[in-house]
Amino acid sequence: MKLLQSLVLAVFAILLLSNCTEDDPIPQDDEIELGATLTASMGSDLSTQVYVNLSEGLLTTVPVNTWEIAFENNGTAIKTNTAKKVAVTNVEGQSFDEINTDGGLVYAYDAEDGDLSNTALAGWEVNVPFILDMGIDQNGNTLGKKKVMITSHSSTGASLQYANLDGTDFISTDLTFGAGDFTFYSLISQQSVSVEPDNWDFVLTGVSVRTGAPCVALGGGAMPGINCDVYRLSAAALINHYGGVEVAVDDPFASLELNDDPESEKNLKTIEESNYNSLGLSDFYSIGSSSAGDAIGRSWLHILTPHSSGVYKIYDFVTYLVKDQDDNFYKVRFLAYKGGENAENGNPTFEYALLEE
Amino acid sequence: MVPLALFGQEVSTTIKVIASNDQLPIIGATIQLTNQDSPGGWLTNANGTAVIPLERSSEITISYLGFIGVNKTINPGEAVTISLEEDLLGLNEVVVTGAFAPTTMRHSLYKVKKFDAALIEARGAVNLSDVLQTQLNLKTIQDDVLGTRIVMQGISGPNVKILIDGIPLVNGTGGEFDLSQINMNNVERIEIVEGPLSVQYGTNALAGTINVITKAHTGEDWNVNSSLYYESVGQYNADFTLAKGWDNTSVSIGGARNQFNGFSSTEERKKNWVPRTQYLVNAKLRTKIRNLNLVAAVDRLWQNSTSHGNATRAFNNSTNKISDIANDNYNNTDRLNASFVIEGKLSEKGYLNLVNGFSSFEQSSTKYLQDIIDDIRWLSSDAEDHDTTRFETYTFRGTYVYGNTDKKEGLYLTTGYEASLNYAEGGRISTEAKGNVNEYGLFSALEIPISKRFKVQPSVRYTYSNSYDTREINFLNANLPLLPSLNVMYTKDENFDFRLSYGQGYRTPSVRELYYEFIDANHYIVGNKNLRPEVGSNLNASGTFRREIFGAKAAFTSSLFFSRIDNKIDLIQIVDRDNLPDEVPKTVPVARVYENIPNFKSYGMNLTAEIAWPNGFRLNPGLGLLARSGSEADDRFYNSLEANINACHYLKEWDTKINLFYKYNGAISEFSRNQDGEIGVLTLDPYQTLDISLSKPLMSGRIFTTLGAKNLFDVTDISLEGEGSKGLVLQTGREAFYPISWGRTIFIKINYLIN
Repeated sequence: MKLLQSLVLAVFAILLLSNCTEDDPIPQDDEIELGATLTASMGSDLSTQVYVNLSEGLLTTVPVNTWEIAFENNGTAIKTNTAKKVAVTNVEGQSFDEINTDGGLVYAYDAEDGDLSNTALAGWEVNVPFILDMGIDQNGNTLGKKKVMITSHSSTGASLQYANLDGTDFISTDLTFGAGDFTFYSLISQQSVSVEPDNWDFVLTGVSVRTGAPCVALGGGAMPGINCDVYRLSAAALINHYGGVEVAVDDPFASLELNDDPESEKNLKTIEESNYNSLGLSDFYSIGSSSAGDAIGRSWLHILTPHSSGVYKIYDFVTYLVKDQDDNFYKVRFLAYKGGENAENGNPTFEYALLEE
Repeated sequence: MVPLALFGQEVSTTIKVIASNDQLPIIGATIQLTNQDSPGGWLTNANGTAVIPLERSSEITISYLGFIGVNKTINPGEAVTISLEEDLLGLNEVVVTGAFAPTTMRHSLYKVKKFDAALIEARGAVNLSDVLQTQLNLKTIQDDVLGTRIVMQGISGPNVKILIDGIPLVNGTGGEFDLSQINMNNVERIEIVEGPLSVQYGTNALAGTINVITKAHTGEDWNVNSSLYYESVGQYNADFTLAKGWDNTSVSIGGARNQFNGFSSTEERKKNWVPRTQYLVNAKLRTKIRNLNLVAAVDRLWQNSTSHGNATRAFNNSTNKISDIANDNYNNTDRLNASFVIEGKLSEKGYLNLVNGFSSFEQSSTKYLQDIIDDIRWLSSDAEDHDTTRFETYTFRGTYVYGNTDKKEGLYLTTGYEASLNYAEGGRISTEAKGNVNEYGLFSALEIPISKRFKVQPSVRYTYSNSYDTREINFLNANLPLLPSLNVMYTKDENFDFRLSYGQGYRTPSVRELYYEFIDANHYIVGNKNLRPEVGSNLNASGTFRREIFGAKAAFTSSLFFSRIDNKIDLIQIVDRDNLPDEVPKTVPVARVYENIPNFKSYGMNLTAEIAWPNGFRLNPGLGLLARSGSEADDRFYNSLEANINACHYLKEWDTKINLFYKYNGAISEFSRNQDGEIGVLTLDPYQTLDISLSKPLMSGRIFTTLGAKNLFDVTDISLEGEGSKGLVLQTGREAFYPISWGRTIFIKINYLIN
């Protein structure tokens, strides 16, 4: 994996360099002048995550379907892979061996803001089993469910056992926490995998988002996954809040209603009305920053009706002021969601520049 | 006439033929001895007279195109004047659809609707869709990808058999025929029979049959005909025909170029009516060997059309700029029809018709990305965005009729065979489609004159298919692969006739329905190899009453029909996406599969009148009521009302014809069940259309001009109300309107003829 990762990095570095050596088209007055502009290729099926390192202008591409759960190396939190709809349900009062069905149980997902105290496995306990939904593959096929139990946990590693709900394919394993912030584990390939590159600022990824009503609102009529708590994947930009990245958002039209009507006021605003060019370092402080994982989140795009056409409005008039792990400040704005060779969705393009005094 | 001289003295007898309305002589009327077998006869001269030698009192038949023929007994040496009445109601016009041997409107067991070249001109019709738009029981539906489709008696395209000169045409990629691909520049008339003609034409002829009869050159001289057409929406058409005749032979070749620039009511880049250019060529050779007519014909169409997409914000990799990029699909269609027909009398009582036809349709589709700001175009790198699909049909049909087909008397016995071989391949056809879907039929019919006024014709077709069990037709509930039909005709006199027809029809699942495979990022539309054939039955009764009113000849027809189709094949939304194959994204926007629907019913009533005044004024009002239901609608009926008026008047002093076409289309609903078992109903709002035109010959008939205005009410998109997902609007996506027309336009057509 290390080799692959460095390969990917190398390829991107070459791509970036070659981009720079190309003759830039002569800008015309009515066109957008671009600074450093990057396109993150997530694929229209969101099967790839793209980690962005602004200070080095690096994009690192990682396939989504490689892990289900990740252990905090310097803590006790466990997060799940929301980029492929991994979910967890707790089974009350049954031992690992007794669990054989998830009938009637409601699955929980990690909070969208990445708050480690609010993951699907928040409050997990040693030797208390739970059921893990391993999510979906890139075509939306379900990958199955496992019953899982963490049998021991220390600052250097953890032991866990898991099996299919019918008890077959029982695995018991010890894993040692590695470098970086998290140790990612795949129940499918039964090993730890490396996912996050070093020093990333935000990641373009799919996230599991609830659509429609929460089940609690429906009371007795609730059918989780059918008429409530339906989760789908949506593209988002999650900041590395764990690494200390913070974001301040400049949205000149924050007060306007966000909706999917192509003719609504917010959806008619253009990049011409952006404050991107005038924003400076002082604005980061005057606006006020957030360290929530979804401080950028999904706020840079919105699907428009008819949804089947797959047309997204990109809020290019919104500027994100990003403080990275090394206290560099950047301004970032998203320009397009379509891109790549065939101008397809899932290829967000953004530009960024150093935020000056 | 030589043999007559052997029997005795011939006496010159003078016959003058005049038209009853204006008493003017008729030049070129044919006079024949009534009971003669040989084709000889006499023609009237410039004074309308002919002198014929007679030796004894004889019955003669006087006929002239467009007039009602007369039989009269005359004595040698007499000088008689015979007045012919104009055939204002077209009763003696020849029709070929449904009948096993050519017959006339009056004698046909089927109620045949006929649209002639004059109507096609007056409509300013470029293609078949333009002609049918204002007719009762017919609806045309526009789709930006699949073209113009037809709905007849509330039943959609795959169940309507489309023939050119009796030869079936292969359908297009949508499984339905694109009416805009049948051009009207070389058409003599269109005949329509509603209800099944499955004994005659086999599969598909369930809702009805449309037979396009092309022009045939007659006469012994050169004929050059060309026309230009312009319509203000952006249609520019030109065509050319060259024909030459000899004794028994004629050859014609022709070509046309049609250009349409597309139209969108929404001003978007994506057009509901896509721009297209068509090139057509055709050639026809006719010859006669003894009494048999041999016709070989070939026609070919090439069409380029472009479906532009709406441009959306995207990053252009090659220019490194944010731009607006659209997906544009370039479609090329190549359609070829070829036929060889032998037809005619083998003997006094034997009529033979052998039809051999080939029809192919090939469509290739290529997707380009178009940067509309920098005007850069590049090919999509995704292989599934480009493909070529080909459909072929071979038809071999032979019919032998024993009976007196000339006089239309006595018993007729018809026997015949038909083989239909169908083949498809290409990007959007599953590789599972091995070989052909072939169908073989044997049919027989017996027309029995029970009395002078009463005829019945039972008929039956045996059918065999290599791809499904034809016993599912289940005749008499005895698992017999037989299709029956029964026609009854009662002719009280000239002024009243009544027709009743019952027929079973069936439709084999088409190659497309079995093996279609359109899978890309946005579509999962697939065939279903477990489909069963549709079996339908139809009862049709119509009565025509003729009388003179206000000095006009009038015919009033009322008709009733009831049809039911079991196992109707429909494209169904796949609701439960979890059942999609693993390799298909569960979020694919369009997921559909062909399925059988237990049953579908439609019934309806029509009242039509045809009123023709001798001064040239004609009025055709009509009223139609259609009700549709079926298992998908819990037997709730959905009604739809239609009314139309076609009027025309000939202004003699100006030598000009004025035409008016009006149609009211009532709201029509499509229904289907959704996943909860509830019935979703989608209703198309009512709308009305009005076209007018003037046509006038100039330069002693060498130039014929038609000037008109279409769609005076300026109808463009008609809204859809309700919740539903299939049927009429299936292919259009989820937009809340349907493109019915491109708004008000004017057109001019100039036709130039050199004889």
